[in-house]
Amino acid sequence: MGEIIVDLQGIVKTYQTGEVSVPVLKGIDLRIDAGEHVAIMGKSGAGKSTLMNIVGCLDRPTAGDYVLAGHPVSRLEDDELSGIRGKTIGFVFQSFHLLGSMTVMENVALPMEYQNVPTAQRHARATELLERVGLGHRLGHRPNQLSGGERQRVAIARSLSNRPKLLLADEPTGNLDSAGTRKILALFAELQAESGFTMIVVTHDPAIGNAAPRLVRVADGLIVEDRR
Amino acid sequence: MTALGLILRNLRLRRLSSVLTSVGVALGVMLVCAILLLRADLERHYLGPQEGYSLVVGAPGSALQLVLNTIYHVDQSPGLIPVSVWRELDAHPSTRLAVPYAVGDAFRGFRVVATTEAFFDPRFPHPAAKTTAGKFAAGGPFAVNPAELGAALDAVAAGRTAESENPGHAVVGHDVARTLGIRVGDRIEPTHGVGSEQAHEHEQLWEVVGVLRATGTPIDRVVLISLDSFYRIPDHAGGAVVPGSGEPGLSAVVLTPKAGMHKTVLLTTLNKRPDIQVASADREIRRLLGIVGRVDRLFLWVAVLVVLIAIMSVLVSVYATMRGRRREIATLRAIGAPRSLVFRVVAGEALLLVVAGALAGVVLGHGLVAVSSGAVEQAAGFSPDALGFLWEEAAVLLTVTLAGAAAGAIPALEAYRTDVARALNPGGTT
Repeated sequence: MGEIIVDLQGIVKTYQTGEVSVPVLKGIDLRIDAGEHVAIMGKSGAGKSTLMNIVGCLDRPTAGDYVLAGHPVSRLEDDELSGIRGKTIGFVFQSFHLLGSMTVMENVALPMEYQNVPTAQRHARATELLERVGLGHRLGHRPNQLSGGERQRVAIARSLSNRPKLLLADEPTGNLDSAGTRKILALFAELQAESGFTMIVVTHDPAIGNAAPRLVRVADGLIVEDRR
Repeated sequence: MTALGLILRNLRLRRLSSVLTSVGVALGVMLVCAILLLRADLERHYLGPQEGYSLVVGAPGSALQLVLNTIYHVDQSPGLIPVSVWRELDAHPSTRLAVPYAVGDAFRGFRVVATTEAFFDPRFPHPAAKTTAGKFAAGGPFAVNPAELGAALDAVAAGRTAESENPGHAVVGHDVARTLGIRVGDRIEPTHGVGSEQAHEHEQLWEVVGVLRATGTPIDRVVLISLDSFYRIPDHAGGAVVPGSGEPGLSAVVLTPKAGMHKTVLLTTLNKRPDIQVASADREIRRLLGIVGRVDRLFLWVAVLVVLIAIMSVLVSVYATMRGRRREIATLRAIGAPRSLVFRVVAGEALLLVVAGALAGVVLGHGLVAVSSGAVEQAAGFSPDALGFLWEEAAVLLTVTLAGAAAGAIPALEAYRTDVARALNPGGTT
């Protein structure tokens, strides 16, 4: 594989709770190539969400270096990070995080607005993505008019709107039944095959973890297994 | 989505609470504006015309009541003084002009004042003109025939009603003419009693000989009739007599003293008499405005407090939504929105609620003044101007806007500081 998308070296994250420092990540080294599909697993409290936040530029490490798609990001300011998130990373969350005041179409078009994509293009791209995930007939609906599986498909369409290099999915099927889970996983696989983005899925579901070509297991703030 | 677009969506989503918080601000600003408007009109109305009405002589009682009744045509007359007092004052060496007033009648909602041609004398103050002719928009003054007046007074003293070949003459104020469509040559028929409940017609006609020019003062709302005709009204045979003495009475005499010490001379000599009192118009009015001013300042502070509470409620309502919105804000941030955007959205929401409320409040304040103008006119004798705009109102708008911006900044700062990672994973600790 050519380009390195995620390059973490010696990542440490310590939370300060009053006078007590709680080390959550104790030195993570992880390199993920372009186009990989990686599952991150670990028990609750192992540090996988914190790792996910750092990889997603939602949080900064206490120590260590993070180079995202060739850009060192571990020391960037908040607003620079939000710019990078918008351009480079797509997020899919367990509880969807769609904006209830907007239509499905507007939700998908919104990230493009922060990248200054012209309106006509935004609409064309959002329509195309929603048709791709099978929601071409729901463009004008509001999120609360959709089922859980449909909402997650809207979120997936939104995460891809800026053609991200990296898609981060945090328990993407945690709120879905088994049929919904199967459909979403199949959709991810199809989309990755079409677009070639790098995908990292955080999960505690062994079925999903084992199905991924690469499985990274986190325990007590360290990587304890990296299986290809 | 721009900040404004997001703001409007958020407000629409919480339509009811948005409207209610805005209405709170609107009501507060409405009160402030209405009080400011009424206060400005009150001062214009009461401080304007009292100049020149130096001394008012009337029955003993409240000096303020005497001044209000005589000059502003509100309240009741404190009582009657004998006509001889007027004759005496007219001849007094310190008097420049003595104008008799007999009140108690009305014509279709407007008060009637019986007087003599002295009322139109160039030396008697009138805001519109210095000459007798200049005081009239149409027609001219009436003059009282001394013989007819003497005969009428004698008749009243004897408990009879005098007869006359001539009709009484009337001059109407500008508002009376405009409101009732009265022109020179018309005949009008005043009724006894100021309140409508006790009014009944005198079955006697007055010919309108003049219409006064607009002055913006209480004169505009008065019908003047000749004093002799007043005493020929049949009801006045008994009613216009000073109780006890049996002499025909007057409500008041307005005195313009000669320049120099004469005002003091009149004040000191007349106030020694037990049967009359003399009031200094400007002193009474300033005293009244001093009392009213304290009260309306109190009202104003209460209204300002209402506005402050309303702005606080905007802050509270926007702040209260923050818990629910932290996730939404974090989502916006995750998909690439800068921190400044979420600040602007939250601050703008509070600001918009406050400004919309304040603008509505100004409109409502003017509306309130317009709606209450009839009641104010009944109570205070002046009709407030609902369409005038005061610079104080612009200051209120500006202040409320700044307060709204400050109120919005607090939750907005909270939004600005949102920890994106935590807000997206409220359950996840690691």
